[in-house]
Amino acid sequence: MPKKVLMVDDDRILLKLTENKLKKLKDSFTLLTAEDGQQAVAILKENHISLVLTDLHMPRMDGFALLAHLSENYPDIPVIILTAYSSPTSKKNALERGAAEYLEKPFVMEELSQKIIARLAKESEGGVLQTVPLEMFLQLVEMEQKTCTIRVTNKASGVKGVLFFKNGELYDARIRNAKGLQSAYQILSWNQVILSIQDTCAVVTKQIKDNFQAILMEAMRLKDEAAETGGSTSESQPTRSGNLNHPELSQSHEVSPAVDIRSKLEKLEGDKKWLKEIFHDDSWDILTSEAIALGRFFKAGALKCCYMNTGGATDHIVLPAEKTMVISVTTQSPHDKILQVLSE
Amino acid sequence: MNAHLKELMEIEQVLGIIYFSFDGSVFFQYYKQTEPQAINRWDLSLFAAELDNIQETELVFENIMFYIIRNRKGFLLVVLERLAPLALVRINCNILLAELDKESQKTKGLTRFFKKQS
Repeated sequence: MPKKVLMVDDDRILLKLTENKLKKLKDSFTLLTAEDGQQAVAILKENHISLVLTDLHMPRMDGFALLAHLSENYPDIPVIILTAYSSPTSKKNALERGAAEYLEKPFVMEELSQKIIARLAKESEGGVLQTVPLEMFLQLVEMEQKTCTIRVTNKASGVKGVLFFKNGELYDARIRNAKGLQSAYQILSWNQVILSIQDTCAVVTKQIKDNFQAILMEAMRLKDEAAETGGSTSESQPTRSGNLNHPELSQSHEVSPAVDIRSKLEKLEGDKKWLKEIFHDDSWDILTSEAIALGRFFKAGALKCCYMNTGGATDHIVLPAEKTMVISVTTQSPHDKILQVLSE
Repeated sequence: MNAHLKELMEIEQVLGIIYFSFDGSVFFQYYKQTEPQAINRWDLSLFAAELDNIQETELVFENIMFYIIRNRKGFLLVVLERLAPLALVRINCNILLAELDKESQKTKGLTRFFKKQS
């Protein structure tokens, strides 16, 4: 399956020209295009991208902001900067912020395609495994305390995920824009996979705190549970907002978020007459993802929960997650306390 | 800086304030420490559009909080530490927004067509 490369530039003619020129390499990769950083962010949510080529000066969201977004959310995706306004300072800035390479415009198409091919090859510099069971391989990674990035392709669905290991510890996992423990569970529940190994790990802070053996056990348990109840292990399509459903975990997931929320709310004193309903609703996802993007400027960390007053008879507490949950409450609810309990 | 704005900024746990229009244009922004890098280049239009039906919102992050409240011109976003006295912040925001509303109305009406007599 060809890999996907995303080119971001506000120069439509250059995009079209590059797209046409690189068509001859369609067996190796396909080129997706975006005209600014915000379009690129949307494409990244919907696609598994292997490499980003970006201009620096663009409207709405420029190359530096996109670079910051990539290093925060997709640290494994290498970025090649393409710019006509090259200066030693901007080059230094871009490389310091995580860009892998820097190419000045005008560039020779041959040079660009060589750089793309070389970068894509790095994804599998440590080898490609077609038939090894994932859990067995990962136990070896843990035992040998390896530092690596493992790209996992589900043979059945073609969905790709990434696992980040540092010294044998699972630091993070990612499927498109979904990150963390739930993504790890999903990847670990895949049956037949292709693994490609890169000998570096771009994730610096350990995002998954749980012990790897415990994660592996839980993933196996969920997998068995799904098999017993006839649950599918294939992926569903991403929703409108780019979030992933997790059909493998559906037996527990359909019920557990609401149950989990209810049990947290039980910690609050008094009757819960203010509580109306708890349900899944992804219509808040754009608002929360924009808030998260803005929060990055303040090193906000993860968005835990939000209180939304729309001026009506019902207020909403939004819990962003792979499946965003919403608690509708009356306007008399003790929302400060609810937020405190839910963000603990 | 407006006195009410100063008062709001003086609350220990307030880290910054951004006042922006419904189309995402920033009217003003103040930060206690240095302005976050590249925030000027960030386009708030999508965020502002998504806040369309929101009167007031609190967004709780791991390390900080955003408190956002709307008035006739747009939204006031206050960046806060997690343990900020939200009731106090809310009161100060209401006072400030009322004043900002008043200021924006000053320029409206028939008086704007006439010169002041000196």
